[in-house]
Amino acid sequence: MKHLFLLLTLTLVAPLATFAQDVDFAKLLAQVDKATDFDDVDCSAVVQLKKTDPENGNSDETFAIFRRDAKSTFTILQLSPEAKKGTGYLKTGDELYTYDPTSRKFSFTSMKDSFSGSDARNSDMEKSTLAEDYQVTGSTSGTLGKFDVWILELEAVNTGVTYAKQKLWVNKANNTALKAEESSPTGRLLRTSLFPSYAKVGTKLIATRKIYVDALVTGKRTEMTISDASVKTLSDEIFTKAFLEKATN
Amino acid sequence: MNLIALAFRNLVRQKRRTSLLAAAVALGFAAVALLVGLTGGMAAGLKENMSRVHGGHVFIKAEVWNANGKIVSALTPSAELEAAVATQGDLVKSFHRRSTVETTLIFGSKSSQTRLIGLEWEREADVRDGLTATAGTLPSSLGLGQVVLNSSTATRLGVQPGDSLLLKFTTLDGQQSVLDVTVAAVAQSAANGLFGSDSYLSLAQAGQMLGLEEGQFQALNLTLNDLNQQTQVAASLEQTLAAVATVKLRRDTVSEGGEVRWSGPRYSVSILDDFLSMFTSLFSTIQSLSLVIFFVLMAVIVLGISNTFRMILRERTVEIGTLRAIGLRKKGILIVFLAEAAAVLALGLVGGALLAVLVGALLSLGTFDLGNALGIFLSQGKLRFVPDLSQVLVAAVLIFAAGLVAAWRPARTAANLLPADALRSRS
Repeated sequence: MKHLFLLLTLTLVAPLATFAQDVDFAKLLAQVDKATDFDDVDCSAVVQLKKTDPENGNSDETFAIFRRDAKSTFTILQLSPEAKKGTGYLKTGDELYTYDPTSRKFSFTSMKDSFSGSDARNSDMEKSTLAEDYQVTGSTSGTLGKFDVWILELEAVNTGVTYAKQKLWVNKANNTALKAEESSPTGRLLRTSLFPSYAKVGTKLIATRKIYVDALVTGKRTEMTISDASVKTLSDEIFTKAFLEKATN
Repeated sequence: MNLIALAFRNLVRQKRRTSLLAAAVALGFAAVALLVGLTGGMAAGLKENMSRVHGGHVFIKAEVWNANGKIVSALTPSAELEAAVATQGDLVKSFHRRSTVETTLIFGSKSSQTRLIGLEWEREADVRDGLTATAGTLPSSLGLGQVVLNSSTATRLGVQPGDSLLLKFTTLDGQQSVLDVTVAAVAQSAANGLFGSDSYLSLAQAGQMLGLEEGQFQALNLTLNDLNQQTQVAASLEQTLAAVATVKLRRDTVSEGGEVRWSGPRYSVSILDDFLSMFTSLFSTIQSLSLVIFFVLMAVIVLGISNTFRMILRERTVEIGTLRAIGLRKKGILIVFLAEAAAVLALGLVGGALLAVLVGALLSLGTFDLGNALGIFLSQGKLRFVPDLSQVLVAAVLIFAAGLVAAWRPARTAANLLPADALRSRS
């Protein structure tokens, strides 16, 4: 009877135990990307950036962001503060330009550069490409607060990404990233990113709050709040240099 | 009648007036010569310091497309490069390999954006000579994990030699990374962090941080025997390299992304004068100011001489009448007046030159604090006096000529006096 109970238990538990190994994590990573991309529609929103810097002081900035993920392009226009109003970002293909309304000039910049001097990177403003850039080297199942999550160890498959290693907490319920610890090639933690809330826009999800914490400078962090998200079709003109030039005239 | 002796006697007769007039000319000329000399010294100091900051006079760099399809700065030693440098022969005094890493230095809750120059510390005596250790002693060699920080950065972060710092940097691929380093020494240079180019680490460390391959670096800096040969050497290098590789010529405008792909390295050559262009407007302003000062001083000198000789004319009217009555011609009177003016001017110019040299030499003796932006114009903390002799000579000739012109009118009036009228003026 004892053996029969053990056999029964094993029969019931074994499939659950092997479940973790059966998960296709590469596919999961693609699903994480897919959950928040807007491949079939345009997306626009207002982004509020709250920078906390114990050394250089705190500041608040507001931006309007326009994304067209189908063409890997985005336009960002700074709305406040007044001194930086009109500063623009335009990504077309692999190239990212910043626009300075004072000199009325565009400069070529990198997606890996800091976004407006914050802890966010320019690359954080476009769609997620985790599946393309990383491979899963380890995984465990766990919880993050009240959420059941997959904790994935990621390593970059090319040197073109900002962070060589990541530890990613993925919500099992909807395949959204809740937290990421981003590290150097030697494994030193450089930044912790938190995505505590998402909202549904059309059929897609968008992180409405993102917190980037500098792991090297104590107390330095950036909080991003996304509001007024919309999936209305945007004019092609928005994704041109002329739009940024006209926006300040 | 010995007219020159007569003129000399007249000058000696009024020693005080002659001395004052000559002193006025001397002061004016000394001011101009000093301005020219000190501006020249500042320009020389600037070139010397900028050469030290940038590690040479002519700079060869190369860009290559990396595996991620990005253009990165990396120079691989090659036969073509060696041959190009060799063709310059004796024009090149020495060459140095360098790489540059843009970093954020983090110490506790403080951070500082700092450019670290990767160099062969042991080979770059010029760099070491241009530094003054303000904390610790300058190391004889710079190993992996060691940095020499400029004093302004060290002060901002509050670090001392022996402290550990965290360096946050970006590899050539754009990947974020960090490295723990130790401060080997804190030093001050004439640049005083002005160009963010006086904090150093080893070339090997910089290469590792940037992700360069073994033996690669970012720039080959050539120091020339004659600084004035930079344009010629750069043009020759461009020509030699262009025959065997892709070269981005100095006259080419900077493209705004969207580069056409090329294979292998694309060389570029720049010169020290390219970096000095930012100071061109400063020196133009100083030169314009010098010109204004020169003309003001010249006007004062001309006015002084003109008035003095009018006074002399009034005082000597009877004497002129007597001289004319005993047979001295008009021309003789003119010569006496102009000889007096010439003697005063010559005396003033010689005195002014001596005064300028003396003050210039005294200023050169003093050592000034490097801890300000003006330090870039000093040579080893000293203000040099390097007058452009042609400019000084032109100024002297102009002052001399203007002085003679100023004396001409009273001299001519004196010469045209009728002896009878002149003698009657006694009453």
